[in-house]
Order: sequence, then structure tokens, then C-alpha cells
Amino acid sequence: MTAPPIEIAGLSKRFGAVVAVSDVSLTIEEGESFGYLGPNGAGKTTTIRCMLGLIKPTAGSVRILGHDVSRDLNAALERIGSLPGEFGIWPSMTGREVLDYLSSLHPAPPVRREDLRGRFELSLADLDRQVRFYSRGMRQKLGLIQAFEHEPALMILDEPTEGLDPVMQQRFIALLREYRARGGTVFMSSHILSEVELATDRVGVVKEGKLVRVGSATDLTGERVRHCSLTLADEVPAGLLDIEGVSDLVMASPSHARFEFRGDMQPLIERLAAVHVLEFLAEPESLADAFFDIYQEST
Amino acid sequence: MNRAVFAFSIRRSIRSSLLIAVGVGLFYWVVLLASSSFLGDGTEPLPSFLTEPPRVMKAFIGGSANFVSPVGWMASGVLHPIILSLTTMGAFMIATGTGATELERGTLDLVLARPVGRVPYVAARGLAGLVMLTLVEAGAVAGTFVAYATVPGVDQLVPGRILLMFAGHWLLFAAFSTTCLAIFARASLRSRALGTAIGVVVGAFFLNFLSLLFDALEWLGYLSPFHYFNAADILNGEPFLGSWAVLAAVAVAMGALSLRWFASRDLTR
Repeated sequence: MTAPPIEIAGLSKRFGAVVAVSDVSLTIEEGESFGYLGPNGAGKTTTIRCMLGLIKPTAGSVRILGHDVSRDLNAALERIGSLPGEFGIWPSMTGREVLDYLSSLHPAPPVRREDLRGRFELSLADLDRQVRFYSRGMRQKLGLIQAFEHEPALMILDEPTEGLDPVMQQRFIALLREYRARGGTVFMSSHILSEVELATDRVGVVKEGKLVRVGSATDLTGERVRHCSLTLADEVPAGLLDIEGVSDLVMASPSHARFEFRGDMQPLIERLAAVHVLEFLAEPESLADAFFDIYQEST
Repeated sequence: MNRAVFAFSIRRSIRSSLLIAVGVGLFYWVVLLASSSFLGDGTEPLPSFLTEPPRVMKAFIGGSANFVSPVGWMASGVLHPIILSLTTMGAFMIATGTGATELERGTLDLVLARPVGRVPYVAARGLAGLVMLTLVEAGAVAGTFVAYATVPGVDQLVPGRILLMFAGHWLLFAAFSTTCLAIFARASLRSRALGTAIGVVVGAFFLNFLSLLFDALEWLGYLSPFHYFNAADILNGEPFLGSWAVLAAVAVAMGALSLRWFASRDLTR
């Protein structure tokens, strides 16, 4: 049985009196895509830097691909692709020189560079320009190429779409899906909730260094409220929506009701089967709404 | 030591170091050419200022100031402010791009998130720094030997002792190079680290100057690496191995401290 790609146990990190990460425990399974959510300063980047061995934990342990990061960091890094948050690039080097240098530091060959270059529309001419002439988005593309080009077993990404335009964000999401389809595992921090919702299947919400909620993206939203709109051919019968889970009922017209619903929808669907429904919309709460609710709850 | 980091460091600095080496070589030739004019045509007596310079001038030039002999010319050349500045630039070239600079620029994260290792990274940078210093000193040797062949009087120097003197000069600046590396390995802010590193060289020079100027402050000299390098003594064939041992010990100790500090710190901005 292989070890989980990421095992974090009781991880804490203090900088003097400031607690950046507090008692975080987390296991990411092989092939999983995990979103690490939180606002700026919540402790996401500190957690990632502990995972990459850039910061030494005050307490707790991090095991990456079965290797204890505090003792066997290089063995772990050989199988990781990473994109640090707010990374810098040597301004006087060309994009190609940057990629060549970084790949010379890795034992695996950069087998996917050409494919990635094409996907992110970074031309050969772009690669031969000095990085100081690159836009923010082009630098981010270079960062993504260096992270993915070795086909690592685990990707650790800190705000990966920062600076990318919407088209490139979509391509990144597609790339992530393909990577996972080939068995890759992803740990991704972000404060862009829509991106996390699209790219991950489990989410951890971090606040003031503490992991306040972990669950699948659908669990986090599914347990919660759905915004419903019901239009019948006739008037809405009295008591039709007098059912557990319905709240905030508003009659927009005699035949049109708007309400919020929590919990199991089966009893509601059974009641609606008895009337002539012209339209019924049950819009799930977005991860963003769930995130804000969780954040408020944990205050 | 990581070979890729070493090769990268050399590639990134070789052009600047070559320019400095050429500049240093030219400057040594100029110093020796200009100094040879003190000899004049031998018909006029030399002013006493030149035959017996004031103590403050001797202290400024590192203890020996004899402007009427090639040994004195060389001794004043190796501690000339321009030579000190150029050699310091050569010695600091790579160290100042390490640790704090890469951390502040954000490139260190990309490098150390790969299986490089902190100790091999710093060791590669430190070694590359010493290679660049060697290049600068090679420029100095070349300039001196051009003067040896072309400037009257310089051929009175013993070639083997010239090489030994530059080896001692290399050791002096190797100590400063590894000290600079240690400062940059520990710091997180480039400007503060650079200020500290330059301050160490200036401070060391000043300590040595004070120790040579005032008898009561002679003990201060032992705290300065400059105390352990006396070009005139080496060129005159005086023993120097004890002083070299001190410089080598400082270089090794500061190199070891660089590795230790960098390996044990948090890499945060």
C-alpha cells in the first residue's frame, strides 16, 4: 500500500508571537485534487512553504509521498511540481534560459515543455525574450510550465491562476483535469473560489492559521441552502410549501413562489408531483456563498 | 555542492568578473608605471616625504610605505582604494546574489522547491564566488607581470614572491567573500545585507588603520583581516604562513557559518 501523497499532522508555525499556522492536520489521497481556501494572511502560503521545506514547522510533521519533509526533503521534491505564490524570475534571463536552468535542477527531463508552451500560447519568440519584458500573465505561464513540465506525481500550487486571463484560466483548469486523469494529485491554494470549485473535489477552509472546515466542495454546498423558484399553472395551494426545510418563502404572485430550501429534497419533489408545475428551479449555493457562511460561523 | 547552481552562478557573473579582472590588471600596471616615476632620473635627491613618509600615510597603506622601491609600489597598490573596491566587487559578486537577494526577488522559492538542498546551494554559490575572486586576482597578476616586463624598476621584484603576495591577497578577500556569503545567507533583506557586508570591509580596514596609527590601539589590528596581510613582508621574503593560517581559518569558519545559518533558517521574506 502506498503512502498518501500528503500527510500533515498537527502542523503549527509561529513567527515570534504571531501564529501563522495552528495545529493543521490533513491527508490528501492519491489522485485527489484538494483546494486550500482562505483570504490573504490566513496561513495558506505558510502551510505550503512548510510542505516544500522552505519553512521549518514549530510543531507537527509533514510527509510528502511517504517522505518526512524534515529529514528526507529532496526525495519528496524529486516527485513534486510546485508553483510558489509571488515567485520571481531572474529579469535579465530569457524565458528559455529560466526553464533550462530550473529543469537542470530536477532529475526528471522536461518532457511536457513543448505541449505546455503550446497550450499557454507562449511562442518560441516569447521564450527567447528577456523575462523583464514579460507581462504578469506571461510570467505566470512560465511558472506553470516549470511546474508541470516534469510530469510530477504531486502538484503543489499557490494561487496558480494569478495574472492569467479567463481563457488561460480555462486552459489551466483543463490541464489540471488531464493531469488528474493520468493519476496526478493536486494541492492548490487559492482565494478565487470559482476556480477551486471547478478544479478540486475536496476543500479545506483555513482561517487565522486554523483549518476550520474540510469537506468535498459538494458537501460544503450541498448541506446548505438552495435558492428555489416555483411557478405553477394555477395558484400555489395553501400548505403546499409548508414542509421541513423551506424558509424565507415569498409569493411573487399567486402562482409563483420563491423560497430557500435546506436538507433532503425528496419530500418536496413528492408534493410537487401532485400539482401542475410550469417551472421549478433549485439553484445550489455556490462555494463562494458557503465559504462566506463558514467564515462567518467560525468567527 | 550542486553543480547546476555552480555552473549557473559562473555563467551569470563571468562577464562582469572578466571586466573587473581587466580593470584590476590595468590599474596595477598604472600603479607600477606611475610609481616608477618616483625614481626620476637619479640626479635629484628625493624629498624626505617619499623616503620616510609620515606615520598616517604608512598606516593608510597598511604599515609599509616605501615609494622608492618596487616592493613599496606593490604594497601601496594592493591596498589602494580603487583596488580595494574592485577586488571587493569581485569577491562579493556572487555572494551578494545569494540568500537574501534571491529571497527578496522570489527566485529562491523556485530553486529550493527542487531537489537541490540548501547546503549544496550555498556551497555552490560560495565556491563560484571564490572562482570569480580568483579570476579578478588573475587579472591583477597579469597586469603586474606586464608591468614587470615593461616598466623600469619593476623587474627588481622576485616573480615567485609576486605570486605569493597575490595568493595572500586572494586569501584576504576569500575571507571577506565568505563573510559576505554568511551575511547574505542569514539576512532576508538585500539592502541591509549589502550594507552590512560593505561595512565589514570598511570597518576592518579602519581597525587596521587605527592600530597602525596609535600604539595604544595596536591590539585592534588583531581583529582585522587586513592585519594578516602585509604585501611588503611577503615581497621581502618575510615569513607569512602564520598570517595565512589565520585568514584561511576565517574564510573556512565564515563558509561553515554560511552553510549552518542557511540550512537552519526559515526562508521567509
